[in-house]
Amino acid sequence: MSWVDRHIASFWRRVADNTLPGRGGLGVVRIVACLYVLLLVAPDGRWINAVPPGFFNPPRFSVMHWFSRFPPAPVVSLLDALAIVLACLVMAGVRARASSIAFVVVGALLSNIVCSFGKIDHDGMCWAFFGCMAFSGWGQSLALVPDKPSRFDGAERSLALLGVCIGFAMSVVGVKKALGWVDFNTNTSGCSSSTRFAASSSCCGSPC
Amino acid sequence: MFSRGATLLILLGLVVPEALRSSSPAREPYPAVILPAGAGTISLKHKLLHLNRTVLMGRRHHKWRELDMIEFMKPIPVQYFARIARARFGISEGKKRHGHASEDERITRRWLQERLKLQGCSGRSLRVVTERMTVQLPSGKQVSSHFERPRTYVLG
Repeated sequence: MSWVDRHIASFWRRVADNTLPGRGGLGVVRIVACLYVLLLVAPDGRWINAVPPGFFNPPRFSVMHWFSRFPPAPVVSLLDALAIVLACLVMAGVRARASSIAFVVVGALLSNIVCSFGKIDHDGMCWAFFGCMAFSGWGQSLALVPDKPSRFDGAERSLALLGVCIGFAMSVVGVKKALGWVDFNTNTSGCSSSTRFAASSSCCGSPC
Repeated sequence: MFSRGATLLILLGLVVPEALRSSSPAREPYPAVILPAGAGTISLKHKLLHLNRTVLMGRRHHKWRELDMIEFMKPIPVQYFARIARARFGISEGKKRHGHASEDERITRRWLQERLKLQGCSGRSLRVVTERMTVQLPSGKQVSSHFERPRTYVLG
């Protein structure tokens, strides 16, 4: 084993040691995560049907950039219904592995449609969570139709990957915020200022 | 657990989208494992806070009046307004890179006209302006305000 492979193995070992869940806990995580999605952030793209086509302006590197306009109303309604049904299937534990993967594909596509106005809502972590957990074996306990054990499943591997995704994303934005806010200048709204305020959504909040 | 190749792929999957976003917000891919990183600061020099606010205006009784942006944009969440306005509502050069330009533009103009009428405006002119406000701290009293960079759209 080379020096590089030894360090890579050691890195993943340390991540896995810190992210491995308790026995039986994954089924509970699955139900709580789906309840959160269904009750608080349920996919809803039907309002897109009421938006004029001139507003269609998807980000350059997104699936919707391959299209020239919003999808037809029945397609959006179908994706909406499909996403909710899939979230219910994952929660109930009906073939949770396949249902989770399908939920990620449909949900991310629906989210792509909703983010076709030029602004990106950063919900990528949600899809990373469901994508990683699909292979954690979370459909094997507390499930109506449990997943059969598969060579693709591995709680250790899935949670280590999810941990790395969360750690990377939080570290990057943490460094960016620190570089912007830790300015040791009492004449700006950075961390040295004693003033705290909230800007309304219509304010750009940029320095003048 | 993960081989050298798989680790490299994971690393690329995380670093490349972030590098694209860092190079320019317009290049941010979606979906990607990226969190919002807005880290701007606002000048508080001389205990004065300078803020910009985008305002939507319509003609009512021959005068420009501020519109209720949330009502105007419904059902589009108001946080998308800035980007839509920056793309000039898709009724100017922003349309050219997509097809169906003239038909889309006609539908969009009609939609905007209807929204203006719902707010009691004539339905022919829409204006987007930037309001520059100065607020005194810590009292929060607004000491000055003026509009600039008006952009007027004649819809009909």
